[in-house]
Amino acid sequence: MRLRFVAAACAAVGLLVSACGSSSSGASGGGSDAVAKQITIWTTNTDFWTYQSSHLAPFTKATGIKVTVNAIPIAGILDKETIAQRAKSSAFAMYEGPTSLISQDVGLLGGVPLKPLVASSALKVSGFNLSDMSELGNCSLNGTLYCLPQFVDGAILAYNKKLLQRAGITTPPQTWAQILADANAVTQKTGVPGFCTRGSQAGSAIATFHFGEAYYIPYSPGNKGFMVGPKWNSLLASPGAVKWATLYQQLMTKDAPKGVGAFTQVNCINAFDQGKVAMDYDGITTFTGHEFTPAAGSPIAGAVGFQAPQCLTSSPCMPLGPWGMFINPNVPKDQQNAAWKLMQYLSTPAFNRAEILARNEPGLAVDKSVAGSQIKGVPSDYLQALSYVADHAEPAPFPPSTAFNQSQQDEEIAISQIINGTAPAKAMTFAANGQDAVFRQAGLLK
Amino acid sequence: MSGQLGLEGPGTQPGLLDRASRRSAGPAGDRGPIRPGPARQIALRGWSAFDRKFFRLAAIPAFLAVFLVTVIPFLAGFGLSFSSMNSVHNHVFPPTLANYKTIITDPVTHTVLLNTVIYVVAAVVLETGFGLLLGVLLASKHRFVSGFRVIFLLPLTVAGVAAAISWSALLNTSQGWVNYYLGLLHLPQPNWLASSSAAMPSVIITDMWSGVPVVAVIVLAALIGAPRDPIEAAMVDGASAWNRFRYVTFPAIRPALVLAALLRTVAAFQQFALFEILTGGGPGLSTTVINFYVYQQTIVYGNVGYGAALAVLLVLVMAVPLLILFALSRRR
Repeated sequence: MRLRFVAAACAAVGLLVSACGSSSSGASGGGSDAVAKQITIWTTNTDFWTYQSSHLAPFTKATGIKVTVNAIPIAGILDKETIAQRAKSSAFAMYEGPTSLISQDVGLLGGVPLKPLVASSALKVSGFNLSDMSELGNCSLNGTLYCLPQFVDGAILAYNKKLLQRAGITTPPQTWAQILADANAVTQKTGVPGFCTRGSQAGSAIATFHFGEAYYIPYSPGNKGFMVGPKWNSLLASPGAVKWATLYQQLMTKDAPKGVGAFTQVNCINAFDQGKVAMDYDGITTFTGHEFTPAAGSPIAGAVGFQAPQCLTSSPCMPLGPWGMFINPNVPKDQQNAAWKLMQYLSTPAFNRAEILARNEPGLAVDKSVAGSQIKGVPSDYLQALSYVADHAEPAPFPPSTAFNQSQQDEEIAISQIINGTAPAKAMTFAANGQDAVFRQAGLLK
Repeated sequence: MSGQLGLEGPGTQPGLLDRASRRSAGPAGDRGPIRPGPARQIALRGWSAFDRKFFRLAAIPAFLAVFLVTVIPFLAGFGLSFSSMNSVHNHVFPPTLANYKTIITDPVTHTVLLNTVIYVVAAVVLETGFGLLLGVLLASKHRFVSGFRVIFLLPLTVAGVAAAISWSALLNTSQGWVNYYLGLLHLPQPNWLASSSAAMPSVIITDMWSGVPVVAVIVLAALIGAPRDPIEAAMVDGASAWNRFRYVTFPAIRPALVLAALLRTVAAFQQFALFEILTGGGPGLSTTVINFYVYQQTIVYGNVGYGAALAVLLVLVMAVPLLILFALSRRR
């Protein structure tokens, strides 16, 4: 009886040891070019990921890598990722996140530099060419590349030619001063609000505010991003920033639809599509087939034009922050390699072109050769605006500190105060003081 | 067996009857502290030693679960509130009182606290009041009352996030149905969610939509379960409808009403979806309440230590109305 017990115990210990052995060999991932056969990735539950995850069969067939896509609701993915980053989670090999938070991603989770992977010929995916990728500056932190962009970022203006013509405007506005003048003319002469952009705190009004703001805060290579000076001093109360805030207030209080302070991206594009606003300023991917080829009988049929507001100087003025695909450094090397292969596959011109045609969403053109070619069904002025934005991208738009996100806290409040009538200079001083306090606490601003 | 365990049957009932008879014994019985001890002892009376041991062993997993998911996180949170863990320092040590100092000195936190008090008091008072009214109406004998009950209790079946998204669309100033119909009636069309003066009332109204039926259903259950004899006796004595309600019905349903207010108070402090979806805490800080602020500080801005200190403050703030309501529930 006792012998039987000892034998059973030995067998159990043996099984445990062998199990531990196999798991540790899995964790080490074998050689540096070994590739895992199964990875889990964290993505948003957005439509383009639905497309991508349903078109991974050729990738699995070619590489033998099975991909489990954990599609997380977009409203909660950043919270989930932040918690996972703090915990150094190894639940996912690849994840997507906004490049504006790259310093947080790398600071908390750690980052996997991509250049050594690019150099490995054993890991190369046919058709992928890193030098053809746009917006790589946004995927870099202190000169090191950590991600591949998911889509082309930037904000552009969609305008309704018919409404502009009714107000006597024949050429589309080129600059923000002209946008204000034209919006004002449309509002007064037609009774239709001339301008719309998301103004809700819940709808990230800060995103489009930042894009406009960057036109008025002169770019300098010495700055820590587009809104912070070389010594980590906030530029949010600088004359340029206040000038922008004043213009923004005029647009949002006089020329935008009533209640724009609670408008999300969707509210503005709906109003635009229904002919209830003359201009909509928002992210490039906001505009799709509904605006490119509006249905016959639609209020905007044959009336839509696109324009990127022109930079005021020859310096770049676009603080782009597309979402990117990052590798989790806390998974074994073979999983990192498999994730890198997947990232390349999703960024190849062939996949990129097929995706854009299938979804009629040219904002996904992360490959320059795809963006430069004519895309069926997409107006040329949209592609020109897209190209202008990409050509004027600020090289390192966001302060390289994990405290960056926190430094925006008071600016978010200031934006809604501006929409509610607070003096722009007062609101922007509040924002600047808040930003200074955060960077001072972080030991960056002396 | 059931009798032995004291879950039902003679083991339990005498205890309950004992307490009831002591309550009605007069002022002396009323003033005495209510201690759970004797009742439990009565409930356990007659149990064998094995049963008692089994009872204690069987309770261990539940206590362990509560300990793991409540006590440990609370202690961890309390500990974190003394840390300087934030977006720059991902370390717990060294301990500091800075977070609590910030709570005292930061005007933003004071605004957030005031918003919380306004929201909780307004939501609980209005929901309890309207819920009582609705519950009484739904308890009345009317041909169509069953239909009305279904209609008025429907919001209980709707998920909070779905309700918030729907209300966000309804209250949209220039695209929402509410202002559309107000416009047809030539009535003012408020800037529901975008104006700092209207945003908080809008959130409270939205909260009432789902909160009033909760109170109503509790009141309805209490009214249905209340004894009819005293009411009928009061009717025979010629008491008016108001007096019957004031002196007979209301005392009978008061414990249920206090329970409803208690539940709504906890729910109001917990409310997150409405603030996140309807206003994002804005415009400015006008709808930022402490629960939402804890989330913003901890998760969005990475101020884990400060967020934990705010969470401790939230527990303390919650304790005040809950203690008052508990005290009210003991009054007779």
